[in-house]
Amino acid sequence: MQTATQVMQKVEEIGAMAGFQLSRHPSIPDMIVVAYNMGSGRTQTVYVHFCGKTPEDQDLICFMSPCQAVKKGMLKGMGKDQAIDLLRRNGELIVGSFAVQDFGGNDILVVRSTQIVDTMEVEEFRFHANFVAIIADRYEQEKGTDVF
Amino acid sequence: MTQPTEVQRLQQARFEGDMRGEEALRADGPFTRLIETAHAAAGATSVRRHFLSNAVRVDPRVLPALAEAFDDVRQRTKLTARMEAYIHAGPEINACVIQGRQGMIVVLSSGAVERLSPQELDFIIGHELGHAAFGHLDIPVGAILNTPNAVTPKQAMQLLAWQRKAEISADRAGLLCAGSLNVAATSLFKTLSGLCADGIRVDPEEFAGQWNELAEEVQRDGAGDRWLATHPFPPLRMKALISFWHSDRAASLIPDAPGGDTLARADQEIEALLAMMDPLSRERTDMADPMLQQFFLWGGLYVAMANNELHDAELANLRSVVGNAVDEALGEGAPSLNLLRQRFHDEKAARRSPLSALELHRIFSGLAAVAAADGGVDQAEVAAMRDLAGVCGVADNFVDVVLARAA
Repeated sequence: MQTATQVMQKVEEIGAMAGFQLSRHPSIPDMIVVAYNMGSGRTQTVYVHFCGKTPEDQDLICFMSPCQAVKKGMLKGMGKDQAIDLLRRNGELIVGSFAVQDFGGNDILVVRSTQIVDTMEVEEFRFHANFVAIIADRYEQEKGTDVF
Repeated sequence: MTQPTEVQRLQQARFEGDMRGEEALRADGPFTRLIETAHAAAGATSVRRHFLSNAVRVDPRVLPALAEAFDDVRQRTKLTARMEAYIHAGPEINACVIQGRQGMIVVLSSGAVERLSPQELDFIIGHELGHAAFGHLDIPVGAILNTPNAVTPKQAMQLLAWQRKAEISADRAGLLCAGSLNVAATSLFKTLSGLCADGIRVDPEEFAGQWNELAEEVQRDGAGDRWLATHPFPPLRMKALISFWHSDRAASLIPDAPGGDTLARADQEIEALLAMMDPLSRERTDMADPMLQQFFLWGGLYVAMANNELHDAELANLRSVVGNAVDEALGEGAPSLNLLRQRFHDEKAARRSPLSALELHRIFSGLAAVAAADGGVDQAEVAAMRDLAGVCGVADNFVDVVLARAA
């Protein structure tokens, strides 16, 4: 059985096959970082990490792009209207979803998408990475920010 | 030197992969518990009662010739366990062996009895008794797989991969009992084709040749449900029998076997053939992906010969991956680079499903290992790798990454 580190080493090389310049997260092991220039001076970051196994024991990776920091605690965090809006957006996404994830000890609103490594094609790596980057950047743009 | 006893003779023929597969299953705690549970459940049902009511028992007074054949093969395998043989009505050529509560039960179809010659029946009965002699009945694969939710898909693949290896051992037991490769070939041919014309004779090499085309089809499919098969493909079984027949071990056990090759080499060759039916073999680190052999062969030669010299170390690396195929490809002279590139391209075009990212990763990791085998990678080899990356639609900066890792 492969370790997460072995899986991510292969995934990093698959990212290179797809034509990406990749780097490693400085403090989170086995997390791959893809930096995007979205044009018009905007940037976006996509993180790729091992996220477990399917019931059939196949390795799963997650593509994730942050778009908003969410404060913790009642009334400080995400309001009901925003939560409903995100659920509605999830219903419109062709793949992936908006989600709130712990990232480096902070709650972050992200766009994420998962893929089975065994069956992934090079084009699918490109698709997932580009997709979460575009959706997350578009959300940030709507909110008038470019933090991530 | 003391001569081996009959029991030792038989055990010496057992396929190494079968033994190692059984050890791996038995070393797995959850599997051991499953085996015990399946045995307990099997003990509660009477297989014997089923055959006593649905088949005819082979009795010397009713079927003297057949009873003699069973006794004869049993003597040769030195099985001491209680055994009963039955014939059930069925036009196909079929046989099986089952562990009953009071002993083992061997069942032949009436089609097998009517269509096979006495020597061919020896092969079939020897095959079934081989299962018993090798202890295969101690792992009730069918019962385990029929227990709902007992195993994960991966465990099911592991069990069936072992079962196919067990069939290779059982075929060898059949070969020992029949004493002739031609008889084994005819038995397998009749079983597969249903043909049984008088005097039918099958050339083992011709029959096994069908495997080469089948292997090509399997590789081009890219994926499939071959792992569900309980038996290896018949042409693969024939090829495995031929490999064994030409081993020194076979020569020491069977008077007519010519020998000439080591058993280890035969077993290794068979392991590589069986790997094509086992998706788990694609994850093994001690062998190259069996589904990508043609890419390693043509791509490896293209990269290795890009600088107009084929270094011994590069050739040895390629042989370790694709075996003798590299020597066959080189034939009497070195093929042109254009031809090698074309063959690589043709393989990709012939694939019925796209190469996955992991497959491409394996191919280019293998090609990088060939390029670096002679201790250095020159510009011509890098250019050849980049060229093949282009053929596969892969960004060429990946070539630098994979070559840096191989160096």
